[in-house]
Parts: sequence; C-alpha cells; structure tokens
Amino acid sequence: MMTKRTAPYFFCLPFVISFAVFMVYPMIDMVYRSFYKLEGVSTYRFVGLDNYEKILSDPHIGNAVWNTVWFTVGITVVNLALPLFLAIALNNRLTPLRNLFRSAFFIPALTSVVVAGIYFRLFFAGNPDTPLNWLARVVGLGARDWLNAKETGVIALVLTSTWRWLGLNILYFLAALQTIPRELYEAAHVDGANAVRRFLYVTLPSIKPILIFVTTVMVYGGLRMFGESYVLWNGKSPGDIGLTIVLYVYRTAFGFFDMGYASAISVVFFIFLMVVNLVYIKSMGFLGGGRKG
Amino acid sequence: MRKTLILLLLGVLAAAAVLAGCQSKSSGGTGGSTSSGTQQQSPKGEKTTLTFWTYVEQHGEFFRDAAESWNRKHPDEQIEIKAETYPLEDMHSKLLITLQSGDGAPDLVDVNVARFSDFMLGGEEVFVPLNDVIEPEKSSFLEAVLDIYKYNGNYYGIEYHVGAPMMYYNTEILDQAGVKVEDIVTWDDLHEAGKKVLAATGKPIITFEVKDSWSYYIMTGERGGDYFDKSGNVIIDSEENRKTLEFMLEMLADGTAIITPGGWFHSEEYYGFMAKGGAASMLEAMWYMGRFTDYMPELAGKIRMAAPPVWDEKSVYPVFGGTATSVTKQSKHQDLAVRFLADAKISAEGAAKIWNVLGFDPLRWDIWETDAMKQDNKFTQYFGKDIFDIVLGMKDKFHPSNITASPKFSQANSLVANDILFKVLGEKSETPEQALKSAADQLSR
Amino acid sequence: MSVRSHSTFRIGMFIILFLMASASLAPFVYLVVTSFVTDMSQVFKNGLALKIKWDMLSLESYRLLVEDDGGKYFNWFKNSIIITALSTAISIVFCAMVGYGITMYEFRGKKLLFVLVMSTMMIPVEMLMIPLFNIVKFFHLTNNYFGVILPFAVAPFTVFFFMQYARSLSKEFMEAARIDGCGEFRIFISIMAPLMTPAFAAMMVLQATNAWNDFLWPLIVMSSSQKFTLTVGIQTYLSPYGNNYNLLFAGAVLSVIPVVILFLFCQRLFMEGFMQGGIKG
Repeated sequence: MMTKRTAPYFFCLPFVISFAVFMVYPMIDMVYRSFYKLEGVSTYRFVGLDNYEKILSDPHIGNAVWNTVWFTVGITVVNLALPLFLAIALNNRLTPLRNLFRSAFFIPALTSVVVAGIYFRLFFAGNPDTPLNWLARVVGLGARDWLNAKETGVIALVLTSTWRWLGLNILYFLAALQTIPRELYEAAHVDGANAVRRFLYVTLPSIKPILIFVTTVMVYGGLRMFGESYVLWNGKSPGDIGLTIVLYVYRTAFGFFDMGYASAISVVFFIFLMVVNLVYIKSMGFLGGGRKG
Repeated sequence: MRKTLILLLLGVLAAAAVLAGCQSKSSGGTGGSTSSGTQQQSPKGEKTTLTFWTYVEQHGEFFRDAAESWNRKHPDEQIEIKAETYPLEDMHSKLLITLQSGDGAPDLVDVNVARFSDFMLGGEEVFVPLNDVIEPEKSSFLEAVLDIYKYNGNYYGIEYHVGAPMMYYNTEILDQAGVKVEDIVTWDDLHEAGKKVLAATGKPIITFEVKDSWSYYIMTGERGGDYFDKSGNVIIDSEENRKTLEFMLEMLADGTAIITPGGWFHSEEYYGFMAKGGAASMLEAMWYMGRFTDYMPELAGKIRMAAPPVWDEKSVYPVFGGTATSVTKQSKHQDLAVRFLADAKISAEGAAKIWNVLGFDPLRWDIWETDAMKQDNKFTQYFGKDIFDIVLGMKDKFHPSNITASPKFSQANSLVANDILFKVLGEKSETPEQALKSAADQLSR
Repeated sequence: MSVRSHSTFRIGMFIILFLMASASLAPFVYLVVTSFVTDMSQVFKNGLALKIKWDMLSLESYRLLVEDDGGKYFNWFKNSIIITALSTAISIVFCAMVGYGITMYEFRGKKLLFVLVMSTMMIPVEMLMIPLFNIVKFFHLTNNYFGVILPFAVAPFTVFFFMQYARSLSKEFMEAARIDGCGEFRIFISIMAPLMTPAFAAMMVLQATNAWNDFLWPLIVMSSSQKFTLTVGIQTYLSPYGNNYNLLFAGAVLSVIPVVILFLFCQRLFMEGFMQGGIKG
C-alpha cells in the first residue's frame, strides 16, 4: 500500500528501472568494450589502453571537436538572439496575425531531420543558380559550394538546425515574456526609459531563468549534434567537413566496425559532458533548490 | 475538453496496444513463409522465400528476374525473392548487427568489396563457402576476381563483375577541338589533348573526384600503386601514389582538369554538369554505363567508350570487382540459396544476363566472345554495339589489386576518399607527400 | 506612440515577419510542389534552381509511392502510427508520474534523482546504440515495436518538464485530499493529473513528434523493411547510388502531414501547456 512516505519511490520507479537497464548497463558495457578491439564479426581482442592512446593522436578528433564547438557556439548565439527578437515581436499587441506567424515558425519543428536534409542539401548545393548563391552573388560574396568548405559547412549546419529548433525556442521565450507584468514596462516608460533601455533593464532580467534554460538546451543539443550532420553530407564528409563528435563515433562504430575505439571515444566524451553538467548544476544552485511557492 | 482529451488518449492507446499485440506475435525474424527445419527442400509446389539485402536497386531486380528463370527450370523448388534496398552504410551496419546478434540476417546479401574483409576476420564463419558451385566452373572465370573473395581456401562471395576500368569520352566536345579518341594512349596524351580542348572550347577534358577514391585507385593502380601490398603492409605513401597525385595537380593547375562538381561521380550536380557538356571525359568502370543511360539520356550516342589512358608500356589495368553476393550462415535454406546464386551469376545464362540486364562485365569470360554479348540492349543503343570488344582488347592486361590484403582497406579507402583527395586536390592544404604520409601513420597504428 | 508610428510599426513588423515566416515555410512549399514533378532528373540536376512549368507536373511520384513494393509505404505509415501512439502514451504516463513524484514529495534520494535526471538529459543516445541493441536483443525485442519504444520511454526531458510544471501544483491540496482519506495514487490520478492537462498536451505533441521523426534507433532495431517507420523508410530512398527522388519527395510530403494535423488540432492546448507554467526556472 502506498503511503505518503513510500509513494515517491513508487512514482519514480519507472525512471529508476529505465535508468538502470537502459543507461547504466549500456554505459558499463561501453567502458568494458573500450578496452577491446573488434575483429571480424564478433571476436574481441583485449588491447588495454590502446584505444585511449589512439584518441590522442587522431587528427579526426580534432576536426570533430572544432566543428562541434563552433557549431554549439553558433547555434546557441543564433538561437538566443533570433527567437528572442521574434518572440518580442510576436508578443507585441500591435503585431498583425501573431498566432499565424507563431504557428508558421513552429511547424518546421514537427518535421524529421531527414526531410530537413533533403531540402537543405539542395539549398546549399554548389550550383550557382540556387537562391542562396544568387543572394551571395548579389551581396558580392560570390557563389560557392557551401557544403565543401569547413567554415561554410558549420554555417550550413547552424542554419539547418535553426530552421527546426527556432519555433520551439520562440515558444519558450513567448511564455516567459507573457509572465512579465505590464506595470513594469509602464513604470519604466514613466521614468523616461526608451525601448532599448526597457528591453535591457526590464525584459532581460525578468526572463533570466528562461534564458538560462534555453542556453542549456542549446549547448547540450549542440554538443550532441548528429542528425543534421548526417543528412547534409550523407554520412561521408570530405576532409571532415561538418563532422561532429557523435557522428564520428557513429562512423567509427558502423562505418569501420571499430567498436572498441568508438566506445573509448564515447567514454571520454561522456566524462567531459558529466563534468560540464555537474558544473552547470552546481552553479545554478539546483542542488539547493526545491519547490517554489 | 480535458475529458475528451483523456478519452481520446486512452482510446488511441487501447487501439494501438491491440494492434501491436497482433503484430508482436508474428514478429521476430525476417522472411515470411519459410518452411520448417533447416536445409530441407520445400514440398512440391510451395514457394520458398529468400530474403536478399542490397544497396543497389537494380541488383534486386536482377535477382527477381533470376528467380523467374530458376522457377521455370525447377518447378518443384520454387523461389520467391524478397529484395530490400538500403543505403550502403546502413546496409552494412545492419548486416554487422544482425550477424553479431545471431538473428535477423538475410539469406542472400550484397557486400561491397571494400568492406568484405571486415566480415572475414576473427575466426567466425558468417558466410557459406561457395566452393562446390565455383570449383567446377573455375576455368571459365577470370580467376583473379574470384580470388578477391577467397579466404583460407574458401570462396565466400561471388562477384557481379570484373569491373574493367573504362574511359568515357564526349565525342561532341572532342570533335570541336579536333581531338580523336584513338590518339589518346597515355596520360600525357590526355594532358596534351586537354590543352587543345581547353583552347577550342574552354572546357576541361576530365574531372577529378575529391569525395570518392575509385578513379584515383584505377589511375594509380595502373602504375602499380596500391594502399597495401600482398602481405597487408601499408604502402599508401609509395612513390607511385605520390606521382599520380602530382600528375593530377598538374592537370588541375592549367585548367585541363577541374574538380568534379558535387565532389564525386554519383552526385546530382555531376549528372547535370555532364549532361550540359561540362567536361570531355571521365574515368570509372564498365558498371558506370548504367549511370549514363539512366541519368544522362541527353548524351545518348555522343559518348564513346575506350580503354583508359596508361602511363607507359608496363602499365596494367587494375581490376578489383565491386560487389559480391554471399549466403549468410543464418539462412535456413543454405543449400537452395547457394544453388540459386550459382544459377543466377555463375551459369552461362546468368552471366549473359549480368551483361544484358545490369550492363556489367561478367566474371565468366568464356562468353565474352559469344553472341550473347552482342545482343541489343539499352547499353548498346546508347554506346554502340562494339562495347565488349573494347573489354576484350584489355583482357590481357588485367591485374588484380590488393584490395583484400588487409582488413584496414575500408579505413584506407575512407582516408583517400574523404581526406587525401580533398586536402591535396581540393583545398590544396597539404602536399601529396604530407597527406600520404599522414594516412600511412594512421593506418599503421 | 502616435497613431502614425503605430501603423509604420505594424507594416514594418508584418514585412519582417512575413519574410521570415516565408523562409520558414519555403522548404515545405518546395517539397510539395516538387513532389508533383514527373521527371525527377530535372530536380536533381538543378536542385533549387529548378524552374517549374505546368506541364511538368503530375501525380506520378505519388503513384509510384503507392505501388512501390506492394505498398510498403503504407506499412511504414501504419508502423509509425502504432509506434508513435504507444510511445507517446507510455511516455507521458510514466514521465508524469516521475516528475510528479520528484517534485511533490520530500524523500531521501530526491536530490540524487534530480541530478540523475538532469544528467541523462544530455547523454547523446546515439553513442549508446550498440550496447542498447544488445539489451534489446537479450529481451527478444528485436524487430519488435516495443524494442523501439521501451529504451526511450522515460525520456529525461519530458520528466524534467513535468517536474517543472508540477511546481505550480499546491501541496496543500494534496494534504486536504489525504485528510479526506484519499490514497496517494488516487490523489495523483483524480486530482493532480487533471490539473496538469496542458502539460500533458504539450508533451504529447513533443513526444509524438519525436517518436514520429526518430530515425536512427528504429533503423537499428527493425531488420525487416516491412516494419520500418516512415522516417526510416524514406531514408532508405536516399541511396548514394541513385537517389530515388520520386519516392523521396512524395514520401516526405506525406510523412509531414499527420504531425502537422495533430499539432493544428491540439494547438490551443499545446500553447497553453507551454505558456503556463512550463519553464519558469
């Protein structure tokens, strides 16, 4: 029988089971596997720390990290500024057809990465007649093969991901904006603050928690990037363009069948993510926080 | 509204659970109506379903066609082919996963030549040896290509084709420059001709891939370059490989060659580029004919096939196949599958179909000089009737490459396709020597 | 602001938003229009530079899609619907339970659980695929709907969302119910859960979308192409040796429609769920 004392344990059981079976065990398995090398189909040979040594001298890892980091930075910046701007626009009573626009921005979030990939691969193609290249020529940048150079590759990734993630972020910001009482704006207006100052001193502080939340989600999402990278380059990137860490692990595991090495990279990456995560949790004071109100 | 939502949710959940329940009972394992027991022949009149995985749609059609022939000849052992086409990467991943887990692998499967060695190591036999059907017919075959799939004395896969390297010239462009295909014998000839073509038409005579390795592999293979030697040692940083890259850089420098639009010969940009007469030639293999007929119909009648240019009199034509079909050990109809496979690819009739249906140069070369090869098909209509004579002329110089000498071949291939060509020819961020040396280091670890 | 600057603002805003919304919806428009093009070789040679003329259009792509391999596209559709429905239902029930449990009670291990949920939120599942598959195999769930659903049923983000939302529920209410003699579980089902309806709606749409669009995991679990989900199936048309553009475009268009319909249907509730109390941090 569930009492007030035992109830939480029952409620949390699904998570605990799921965590143990589908997370803890696989991770242990992965650590174990990282000390072996797969030969043929199912023969594993013990190789000790070889896989880890390999990480240090693997040039692809460097490229993957470069791409992933720059992508994360790009996606976070773009997906903080742009949705915020759009949310403010959509929040303003004067803006026409707000709900329609809001839905228009959200619908891409409903599509799969594959569908996005079909379109954006054609969008970023090197063909000089694409709309993008036409625009590039008009502003003097010159038509280029976007998916074939390192820097533009990251740009392509950021744009493709933004297309799908924008709508959701707009919603988060919209929600937060709507909690700001109008009196605050009116008071600031009376004090003589113009639009910019109102934004800086009323809006931003009020939505700080949401800003933090979106930043978190974006950073995590950026570091985990796999899908967009996979569909834009069909799984094979020349010169490691657009190669992200997770994609590299996938390629090592299923492209080269080097499960051991893939596991080793995963382990290192996990440890890194864990550290980031713990730092984040501590700094946000989440460990101390309970319920509000 | 809330109540309706909850009811809706429960309703959907219930319906889905019922449907799922019906499904999961009949799930588990692939193929459909397989007869009970292993290695048995199905009773008279009943069809055995054989599952086949591939990454080329046309291969599936080929086997379906072969099944029909088989059924005519063996009315009491009817076969139905269930072909599934997946993208190349995914198919090999799935194959590995199902072979590892011991369940779910197909009866027949196409394996890419660059990946074949990955399945062969470790002492576990995952494919059925095909010696019984190959040995008797061995003399009719180009043995070198058979041996690509021979491990420990057993043949584990049977190729589709020899994969004779082939040059495709756009005669319309060449005519404008006054260049004749017959005059191009060596790569230097091509370079010179390229200058004429550039001057007369402003177009490059050839394009070089930076996203795929095979045309480079052919070029360097002609002068003996390879990634591994016969014993599996890394030789990717050999002088031959380096010189080939340097030659390519020369042609890129004066505009007689450009980087393939789209990066490789299977990209949409490339088809569009060539269809508009973008370059005067390309180097690949016989099996590329299908790309021309299917994706560049505008060029019908304008493309002439010829033996590729060579470096010198000592040059050879590297052959390394492309895809093998194997029977997995998980198949419940190994015997039937093997015999069917033999009929489809090894028999004379099957070999002729490989040419007529797929446009490939079959392994079985005793039929190369027969009329079977002169039949009218979509390839002869596009390229002309004497395509096979070209291959016959090259026959004596076929030389198998060391494609299965090392399990690291797929990694080497990937390094060339993804790194080396791009960095050396495309970005020009590394010299041939640097790139090759870096690859050799990575492979030696 | 004066009336005049109101209008300028409105017009200006409209233009900007219109341009951006167009950019947002352009891909769909392109996909839909192109799915009616008969000769796909035009598409891949020109890509987005394609100029569409009326006589190029027909229902050819859709016809091919329906006929392909005995209508396996519809099998994919069915599989997707079943998996999505089951996954969504199971997921929101469990995640709501966990989120509720963590927030509404004080107990030993609460902090630890919290940290665990946050941590699992950032694990890229793609890296766990191999060992996860072994587990699924161990439970004989390969090529099975539940093999696809179960490992990701208790999604950390959904748990997190319910956790946050539950903060807006009042503990006093629970006390009152207890005094009245209600058991803990009844409190949850009859009283608190209905209060979280907007959250359910929001997560339902999100979870359904994720399940519908997931492509890597179903590809690994399902070995027979008849059991593929839509997204996986469409992906198989993207073969490097000749993209099957007809099937690809038609298939993609048809795959987007159900989710869009679901969203439009639940839009109001969904927005409510998000706006009210979701992530106040």
